[in-house]
Amino acid sequence: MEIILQIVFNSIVSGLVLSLMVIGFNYIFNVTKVFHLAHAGIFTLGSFAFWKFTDLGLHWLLASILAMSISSLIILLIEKAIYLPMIRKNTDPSVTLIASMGLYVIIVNLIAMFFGSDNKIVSSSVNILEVNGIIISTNQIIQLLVGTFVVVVFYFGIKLTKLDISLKAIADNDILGEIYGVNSKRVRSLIMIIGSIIAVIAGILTTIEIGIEPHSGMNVTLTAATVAILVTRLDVKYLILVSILLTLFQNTIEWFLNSQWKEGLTFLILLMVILYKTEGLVSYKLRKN
Amino acid sequence: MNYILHILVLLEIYILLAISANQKVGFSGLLSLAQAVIYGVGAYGIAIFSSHLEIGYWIPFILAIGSCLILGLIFSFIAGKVIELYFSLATLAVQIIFFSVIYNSELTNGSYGISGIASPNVFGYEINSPLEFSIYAGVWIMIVIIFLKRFYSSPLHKLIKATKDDEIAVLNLGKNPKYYKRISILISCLISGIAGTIYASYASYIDPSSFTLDESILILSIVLIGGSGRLIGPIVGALIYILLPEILKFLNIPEMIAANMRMILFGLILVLIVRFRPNGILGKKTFK
Repeated sequence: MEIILQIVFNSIVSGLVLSLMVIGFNYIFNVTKVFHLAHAGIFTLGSFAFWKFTDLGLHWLLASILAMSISSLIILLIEKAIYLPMIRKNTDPSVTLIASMGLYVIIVNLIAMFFGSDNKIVSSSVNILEVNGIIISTNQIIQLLVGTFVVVVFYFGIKLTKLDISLKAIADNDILGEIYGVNSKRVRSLIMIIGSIIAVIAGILTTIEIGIEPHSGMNVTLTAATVAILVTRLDVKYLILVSILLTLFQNTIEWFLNSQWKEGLTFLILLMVILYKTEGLVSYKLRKN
Repeated sequence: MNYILHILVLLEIYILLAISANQKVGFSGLLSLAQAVIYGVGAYGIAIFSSHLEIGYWIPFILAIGSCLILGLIFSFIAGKVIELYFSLATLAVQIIFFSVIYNSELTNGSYGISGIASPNVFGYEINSPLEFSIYAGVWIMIVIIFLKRFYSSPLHKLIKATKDDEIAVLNLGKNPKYYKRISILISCLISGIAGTIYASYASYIDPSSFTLDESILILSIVLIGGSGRLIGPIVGALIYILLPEILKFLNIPEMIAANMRMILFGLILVLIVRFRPNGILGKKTFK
């Protein structure tokens, strides 16, 4: 019984961190139509910047803000120089996927070249609490609090600024959206930056727990991409729910089988959904002909 | 001398892999991210069948290629169901599932890999040294190129290209586009499978790390950089990929940095190509 509670608790915490990646990935994919696998590069870049700045002795808050700023600049450059011109030329989405992979390769290898490929750890004192037999580390509490805070800010932020309506308009039909006065270039850049900032937060939350190495962004991004295909609706609540459920599923497999099978089985679900329910498990209700 | 021959064998294997990927990407417009899967099935096929059956080299060889073709049928099923981005994503899923299976399965000996793989035996003559392997792989490349040269001038190939350009037009001609995609995928699997068997016999040891997603992306980028849709493209791409680190070595760049620099340069060329010539890659023809 205790072990089940422990797995559920761990899944909620890591699912919440995953959902930060998912929200960014899903919004970017739906709004800009780019299957942005370079999100993994941004995740890694932000985490490495955070590690480097704290290593230099900066306060963690300042280090985080610097990491976010650097990542935002890079993503803005990518959007303006690569993605936007490609979309404007009506490039096939699978070709933009290749461009994104190329960008990922460049970012990750640049990081590996300058900082080495070994695992970098941010030293922090970890305390462990025990509540009703469930072991909770201080890092998990930080992840839970920061994760919830970011999700809430994002949810109400886009609602109150009416950004969500613009996002949905551009996601649905960017030409119609522009006709009705939505500045699609601005909305695209904005969601890219917001998504990247959230990704960097997810990266920092992961780094304080298990450290960071150049290639560790890909796995979490692929899982986030899986959720983005399962849930095609731009709805934060469903994205968080499915992220947590998927993490629970993975942790259960990890407990009963081993950690390598969890990826295989996750992607088996993805393959089945792509083949038999391409519009996703949670999608908008479409009027049938 | 042996080092140059070693580079030559690697080059030949990548030429085969790139030609195989070109068949899918260049002629059928299927951006598959699972090139390494078929390569891996060929390699693991020869390793498992030759060690378990112990009946020479060629029967396991045929069984390994047969397994690749069965896998090809699965890919053509996917290609029949979903297109474009979703095809790429489905193959990406297959790639990760495949890696998970070979990493965990008892049959493939997990992360430890399989060693002591049989060498090809041609008319009673065992192929062992790098020199012999470079000739053996060279012969396979000749066979593949001669076959493809003939195939490219056949009516069947024209229909494969037509399917890429306009599927609905092909349908209007009373032809089944899925059939032409399947032929293209099967030919691609055949060539990848051969490359896999050569690699397994040459290295005589294989483990899952040779068949990762990175490898698939690499093969795909070799094709895109060399230029898809022509036979010379993949050969040029493979040459660039194999010779780039040798050039970096001449510039006295340390090996650790050279490995990263090769990938950075490769990624950069890839991004620039898809950014500035996106239609050159999938080659969609549009009427103005």
